[in-house]
Amino acid sequence: MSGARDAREPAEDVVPGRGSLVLRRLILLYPGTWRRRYGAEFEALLEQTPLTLRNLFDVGVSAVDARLNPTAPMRKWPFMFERLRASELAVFAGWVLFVIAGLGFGKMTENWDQLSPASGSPAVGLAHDAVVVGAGVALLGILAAGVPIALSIARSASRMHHWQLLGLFAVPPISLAVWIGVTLVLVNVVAPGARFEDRLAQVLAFCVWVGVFGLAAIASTVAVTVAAINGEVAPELYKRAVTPAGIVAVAMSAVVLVVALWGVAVFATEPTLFWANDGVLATSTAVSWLTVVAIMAAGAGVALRGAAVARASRFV
Amino acid sequence: MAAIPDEAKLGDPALLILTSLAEGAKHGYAMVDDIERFSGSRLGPGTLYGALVRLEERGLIEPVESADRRRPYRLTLRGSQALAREIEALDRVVQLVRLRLAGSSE
Repeated sequence: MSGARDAREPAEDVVPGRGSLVLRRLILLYPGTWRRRYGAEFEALLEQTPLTLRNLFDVGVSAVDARLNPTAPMRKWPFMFERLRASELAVFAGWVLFVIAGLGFGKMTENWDQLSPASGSPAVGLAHDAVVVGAGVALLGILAAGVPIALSIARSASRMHHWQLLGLFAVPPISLAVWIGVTLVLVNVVAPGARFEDRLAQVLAFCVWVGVFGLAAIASTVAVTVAAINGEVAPELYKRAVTPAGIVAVAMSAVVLVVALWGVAVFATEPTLFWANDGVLATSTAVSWLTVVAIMAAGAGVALRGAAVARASRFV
Repeated sequence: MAAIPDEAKLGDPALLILTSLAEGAKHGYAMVDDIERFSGSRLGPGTLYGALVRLEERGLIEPVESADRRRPYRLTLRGSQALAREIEALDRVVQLVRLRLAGSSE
């Protein structure tokens, strides 16, 4: 379509003249909310508009009209759009919390086959499989919602040479690499030298491992959030992310329920194991399970709230 | 004959913008040029954006993802339907005017 082609003409033909500079100053007459939503694109138009008395008058009248008759998008748009974006970022943050707890659950149950006859119970086995499926669905939802937004930010950042913004996307893989490095050091260097039957050594190693993971998760979440806030993304992409965000929140909630039921099933099939110290790094199983459920529930709660707000804000 | 409710009626700039976007997505400057080509009227930048804001508010147009600052807009389904209704109404007026002019010249 010729129209679509027109819309994608390169920006090089935009040569601002002195007159356009005067016109561009008139943008300041518009309300702040208007400028935040339309300022950049309006300025691009004014750069191509000749300075005439008619155009000066036209822009002036339009600015007064925008102040006297703020339309609904002007009253709501920045707030609603930011709310949509913030609520989807909340879903992402909730998911990160959920993943942290999920890794704790994985760690807790990694040797479950050898430890517990309860693992042979259909209820426990089914619950474990359901957790894996739910976590997979949540991950797919995050990818469906986040990848188009991340690609859009990366594309616009590279075109506009915003290298710092692009650099933010390197934070999650670098954080992951650091955490894997720390894990390898703990397993291959520290563990063979340490007396790992020593409870204190176990706890210290675990705290370092979890601490580095926590810091990596926080750094990654902050980097992605800063990139999303400062990157150029069409509202349409955030609107499209509403449904996947809802799926993520529902999948997370289902997993929380299943993990809770898993603990109940273990308690019902083998109460002695439930009260023994077979949790994360030989801590209490019951306490480990409750901690995992609490953190997962917090993440799912944040995600559910975010998904609900995003759904309510999708008509920006 | 179904009347168009007042709140659904489009102003001149809005009608021109929707007509321009019926061809495909365009950014502001492309719209001004296109409208001038087919109607002979050149919309001022303030008039264009005043109408764009209201059309977006009514869900008749929507912005398209853009790499540069010149954000293109496109018709929504509601926008296409509103344009079709407006054109039908205009068509009825044009036919009536033709009939009356023909009657008065006899």
